[in-house]
Amino acid sequence: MLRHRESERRRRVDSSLGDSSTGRKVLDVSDLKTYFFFREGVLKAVDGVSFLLREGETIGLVGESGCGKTITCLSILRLIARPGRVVSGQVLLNGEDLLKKSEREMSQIRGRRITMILQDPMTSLNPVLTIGNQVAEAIEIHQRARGNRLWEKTVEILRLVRIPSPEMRLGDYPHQMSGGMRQRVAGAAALSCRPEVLIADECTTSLDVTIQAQYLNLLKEVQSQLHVAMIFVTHDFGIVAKMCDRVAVMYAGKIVEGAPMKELFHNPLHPYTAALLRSVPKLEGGEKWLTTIEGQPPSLMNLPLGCRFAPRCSQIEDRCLEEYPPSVIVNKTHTVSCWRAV
Amino acid sequence: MVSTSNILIEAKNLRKHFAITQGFVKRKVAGWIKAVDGVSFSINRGETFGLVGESGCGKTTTARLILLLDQPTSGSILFRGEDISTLPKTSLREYSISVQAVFQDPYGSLDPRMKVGDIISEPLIVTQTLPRQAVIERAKEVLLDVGLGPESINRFPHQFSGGQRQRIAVARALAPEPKVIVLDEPVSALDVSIRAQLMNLLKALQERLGLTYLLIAHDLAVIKHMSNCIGVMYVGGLVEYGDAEEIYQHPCHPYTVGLLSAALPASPDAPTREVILSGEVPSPINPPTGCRFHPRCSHAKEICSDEEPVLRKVAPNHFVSCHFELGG
Repeated sequence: MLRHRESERRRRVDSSLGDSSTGRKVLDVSDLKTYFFFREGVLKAVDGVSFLLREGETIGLVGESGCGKTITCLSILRLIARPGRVVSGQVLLNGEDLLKKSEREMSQIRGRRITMILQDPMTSLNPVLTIGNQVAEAIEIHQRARGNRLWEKTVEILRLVRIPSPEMRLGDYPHQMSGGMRQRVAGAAALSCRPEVLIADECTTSLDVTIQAQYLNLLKEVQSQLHVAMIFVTHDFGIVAKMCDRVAVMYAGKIVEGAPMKELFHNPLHPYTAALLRSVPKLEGGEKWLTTIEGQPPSLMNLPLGCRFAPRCSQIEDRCLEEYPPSVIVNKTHTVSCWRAV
Repeated sequence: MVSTSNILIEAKNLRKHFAITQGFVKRKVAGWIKAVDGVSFSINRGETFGLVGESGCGKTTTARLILLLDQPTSGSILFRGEDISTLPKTSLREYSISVQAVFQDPYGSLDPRMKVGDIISEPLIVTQTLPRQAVIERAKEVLLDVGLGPESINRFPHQFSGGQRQRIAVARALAPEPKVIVLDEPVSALDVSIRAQLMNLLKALQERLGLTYLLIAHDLAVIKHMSNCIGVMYVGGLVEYGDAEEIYQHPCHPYTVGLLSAALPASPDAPTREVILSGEVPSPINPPTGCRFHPRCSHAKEICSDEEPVLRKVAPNHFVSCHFELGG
C-alpha cells in the first residue's frame, strides 16, 4: 500500500516536469510504456515516460538515437506496429485518453488534432502526387471542404508557410522543389487543420544550416499565430536553446531530467545532461579536448538493474547499481532522476 | 601566404566541370555543372584545413580531386611543392598512399562481407609488399591506435556500433602511414556523445603522428573546433579563407556572416547574430553572374552582378572575395 502511494507520488512528480506555468493542459502523458516483443526478449523502447504540454508551449525531447524519443511520439499517435505495443500509461489530449480510443476515433485525431512533421520530406511526401493534392487531402478529410473553398484553404496554408506564389506551385511535384521548400510543404500539411499538438521529429536534420535557420524561425512565427503546442524531438541542444520553453532529456527509454530551458543549460543536475552539454563543440571556442561520455548506451533488451546511465557515469555510488533512482523535484521546476540529488 | 616550406599540400585554381549530356544515340553536351570553379588553398604540415559550406557547394568534389578520385578539368595539386600531374607513375603511387580518406557514413564505407582485419589490411596489401604476418601486426597496431582491441580483426562490421565503425574507417586510413587524411563529414552520422569521442581521437592522432587533415563539414562548430584554417565555400568557389579564429571573430563576407548567425547557439546565452539569409543556394549549372552570392546578399550593388570579385587580403592570413569592405 505504502509502496503504491510512493509510486503514485512519483508519477505526479514526473508529469509536472519542470512545469510551473498555469496555461491550459493540452497533452498529459503519464507513465507511458512501449515495449517490443521479440523472440529474443522484450525490448523496452519507452519505459515510463511522463510529461505535460501546455497550450502554446514548446517542449524539447532530447536524447541520442535509440533512446526512445521517436517511439514516445509514435505511441502518443498510436502508430506502434507489431511486435510493439503500448503496455501501460495514459495519454490525455484535453482530458481524453487516447490509449482508450478506437481505431476509428484515432483516425479523426491523427492529422487533425495531433500532427507530425517527419525528418525527411523526400520520404514523407508522396512523389507521384502534386503538393497541392497532398496538402488538400488533410483539409478535405478533416474539414470536409470541396471545390473552390478547398483550393482557397490550401493556398492560404501554403502562404502561411511562405511558399512563394502558392497558386502557381500547387501543381508541382515534390521533386520539383528544394529540400527546404519540401519541408515547408510537409509543415503546411501538418498545420492545415490547426492542430492542438504538433510533433516535429528531427524536422530540420536533413536541411542545410541557413535553410534550417529559416525553417525554425518560420515554425516559431506560425506557432505564435496558431497557438499550437509543440513537441520538438531533437538531438541538437542548439535547436533546444532556440526553440524550446522546457526540455526533457531522455536516456535508454526514460526521462532522466526535465527543466525549463535556461535552467537546464545553467544548472544541469543529471550527470548525463551535464556531460552531453559539455561534449558539444562551441563556436565561441573553449577547451581543446571535448568532454566525452565513455562507452555506449545500454541495450534496451538487457537493461542494467539500477540507473541506466550508471555504467557510463563518472560519479557512481553503490546505490546506482542496485535501484533506479526516483524522480525528485529540485528548485520547484526542475526534476531529475539521480541518486545524488535525492 | 605562409612560409612556403611548411606547406604540405596545395590546390591551385582547381576546377571540375561535369558535362550534362543529352540524347541517347547521339550524345551531346547540353551544359556544364561547375561543381568546383577555381578553388585555391594550402595546408601546412600537421595542421587542419576545414572546408565548410552548404550541400552542393562542391566540398566533396574538392576532396575527391585531392584524393585523385576525379580528374580536375583544370588547375593543379601540389604535394610537397611538386605538381602531381607531372609526377611519374611511381611517385604518383606514393602520393595516393600518402593521402587517405575517411568518409561520412560508416555503414556504407565498410564492406559488410569483409572481416575488420581484411578491411584494414586491404590498403596495405594493395600498396605495399609486406609479409602476411607484418600486415596482421600492422592491422592490430592501428586498431589499438583508434581505441579498439586487436581481437576485433576477426569480427565483421555489423558487430560494431556506428562510432566503432567510424574508428575502423579511421584505422583503415591510418594503416598505410599516410601524411594527409581527408575527412569528409567524419562525425555527422554519429550521436552527440560519440561525436566528441571521435573528434578527440582525431585530434590526439594528429598530435601523435603529425598528420595533416583536410576536414569537410557543414557544422561550423565542428570545423571551428578542429581547424587551424577555414575555407568557406559557396557554389563552387571559396568566398572567404583564412585563420579559423580570425574568421570567426571578424567575418568579412556576407555569406560567412549569414552562416555564422544561422549556426545554432550552444547555449541560450551565447551571442546570437540575427542575420538570417533568405533564399536558397543557386544551382551550379547556371550560377549567377558576377558574385555568386549576390542574389541572396543584402549589400548587393550593381557591380556584384557584373563583375566577379577576386580573393583579396584583409588581414594577414585572411582573404575574402567581396567587392566591399564589410564586417569587422
